[in-house]
Amino acid sequence: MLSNTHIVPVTALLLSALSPTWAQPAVDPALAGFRLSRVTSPTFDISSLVDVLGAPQAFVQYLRAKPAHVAFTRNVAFKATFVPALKAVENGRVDEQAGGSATLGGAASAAEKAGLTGLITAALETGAMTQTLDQNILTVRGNAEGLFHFLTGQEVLPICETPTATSCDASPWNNLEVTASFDVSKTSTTEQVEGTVPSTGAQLTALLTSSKRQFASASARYAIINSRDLHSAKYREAWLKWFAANQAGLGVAGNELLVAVNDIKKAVQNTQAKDANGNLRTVNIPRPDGSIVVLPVMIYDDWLTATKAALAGATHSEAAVAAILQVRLEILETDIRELVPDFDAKLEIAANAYTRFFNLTRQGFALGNMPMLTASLTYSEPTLQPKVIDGKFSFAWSPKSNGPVNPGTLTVNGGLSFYTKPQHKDTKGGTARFRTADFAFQFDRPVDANGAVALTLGGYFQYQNAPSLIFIPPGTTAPGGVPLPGNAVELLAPKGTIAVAHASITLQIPGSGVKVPIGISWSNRTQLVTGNEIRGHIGFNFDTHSILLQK
Amino acid sequence: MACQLAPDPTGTIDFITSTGAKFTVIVKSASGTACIVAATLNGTPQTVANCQAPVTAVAARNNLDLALVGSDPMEDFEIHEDCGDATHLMRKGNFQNGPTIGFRIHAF
Repeated sequence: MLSNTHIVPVTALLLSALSPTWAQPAVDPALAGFRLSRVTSPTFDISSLVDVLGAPQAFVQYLRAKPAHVAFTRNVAFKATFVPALKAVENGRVDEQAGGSATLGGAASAAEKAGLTGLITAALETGAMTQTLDQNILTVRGNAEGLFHFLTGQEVLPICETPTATSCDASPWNNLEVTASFDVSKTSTTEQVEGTVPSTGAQLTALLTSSKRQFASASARYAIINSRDLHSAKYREAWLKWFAANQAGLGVAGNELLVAVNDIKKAVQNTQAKDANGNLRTVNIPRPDGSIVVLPVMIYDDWLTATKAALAGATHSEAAVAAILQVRLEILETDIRELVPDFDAKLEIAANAYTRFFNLTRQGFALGNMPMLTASLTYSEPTLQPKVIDGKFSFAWSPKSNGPVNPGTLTVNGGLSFYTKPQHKDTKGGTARFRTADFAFQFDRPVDANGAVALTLGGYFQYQNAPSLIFIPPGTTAPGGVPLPGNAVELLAPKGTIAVAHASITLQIPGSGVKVPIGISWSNRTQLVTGNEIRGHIGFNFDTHSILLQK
Repeated sequence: MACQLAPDPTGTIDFITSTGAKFTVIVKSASGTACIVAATLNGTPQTVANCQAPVTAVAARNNLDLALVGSDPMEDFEIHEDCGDATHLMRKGNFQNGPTIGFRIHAF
């Protein structure tokens, strides 16, 4: 079970990471399209938010969420919305592995997903799935190419200026991921283990605890089929082929969208502003030849200048920027409504145009939902057990989608594990290297349209070729606290098949690179101990690549 | 071919140019797939070919709007004026902010 020794440090870490979000006053959800979480970065240019008609999607989203317009949409029974569609594209990927494998002392997924990290991913997970001792496992994953680019000062996402340029193509190193896991627990849970001493056949019962932080495992994973990487040459090739076949339709939908958006903004962009005395506003522009030309200042030009000035003194706080922006947006909305009598109807036409445009572009993004196959080789040092090498294949497949881009991903694992040296398998002196055969499956599905919550259901099976071997260190006690006599001994745990059922939800903070899987598992036994176990699992994953993509 | 668009030194609008000036707008992105698929000038659709939007500035206000697509819905892109042997960065954007981007240009 999830013990206090595990819950406290993990919960503290979670709280410290999430508290900046929680501590902030609530921001009007209507402003979601502006992605104001970006402003907390000291390097973010707040003035880049100001031209709301230059990139009008967030403004259209804001206006459609306003109470006055919500009443209108209720009347016309408008149901389609473009925002969930785009969010699904942005956040819908559920195929990337962040934490360690199910065989570690802390795990949050039954199967190892096929997707690789783009740069560096760190995960802290607690709650063992197959291991007997519960531990806190820190797993760090790095993409070979991304790391090399990062460490040598190159662009992690290199630039291609034309569709036919190849300088941005990923190399085969982009398909290689290296991973290291560490047990960072001060102490593990204490479990009672029973077994047979292989040299004497004697039965022994001991209380087992791990009390040191140690290396847990290292692995290399290679994506044999990596068509899901949006930066892979294969995906790009498929997308360009799709684009060539759909360019005419995209042009039509694009023109409809631009005309619809223009119908909303043209009045404030083309109507000259007046000053307090009712005079038309102008500004003098000096030309390079020294002459002066007079520029008429339109209502939107005037609004932009004032909004830039209002935001110039804003701190890099989401709440501070939201408060100023909301006041300014209300002024702009009032200006537009004065000039556009059928504004609500035009807004709905624009929203429909966005939906039609995204319905087309989603078909292209869906090309990224192709099957994926990853092979991995892992060296691990399970606590108080012999060293092990695992070979595994991970296959990912997503069903065709009629709605959101990624309706979910099914992952299937198959693997074998071997001891690095022959180990005792019975009391007759027999030894073996082959340890287990493993099979796992898992289905991950985004639950909400924003991709902020994902549901996971999975199962894990392990066939044991021979009883697991336990190293009982000197000083170990028997139940009742009586020290076991003698030096370290080996113990053969009862042999048996392990079956695990697992369910979890993963909470994602959009744009932060942070995911928090919380789950529960049932197993018929663990590696060293027979008898049912129900355990809680919690993790904290951080993906630097998501941050790079969220500029 | 010289660049036709000059930033407005007062910051009131995006660019100033001369009436009748011809310029071509292109897009660049990390994947190389970002493409202009539609363009309007003052609400009137313009011809777009090879992901480029050629524009002829009309007198006074020119509200130029572009619709873009790309293979990565989270990718950054850059809108440039194609000046022949060089390009002039007009604005940076990201597909997460929407598939359209607009410019306010005044021709004298």
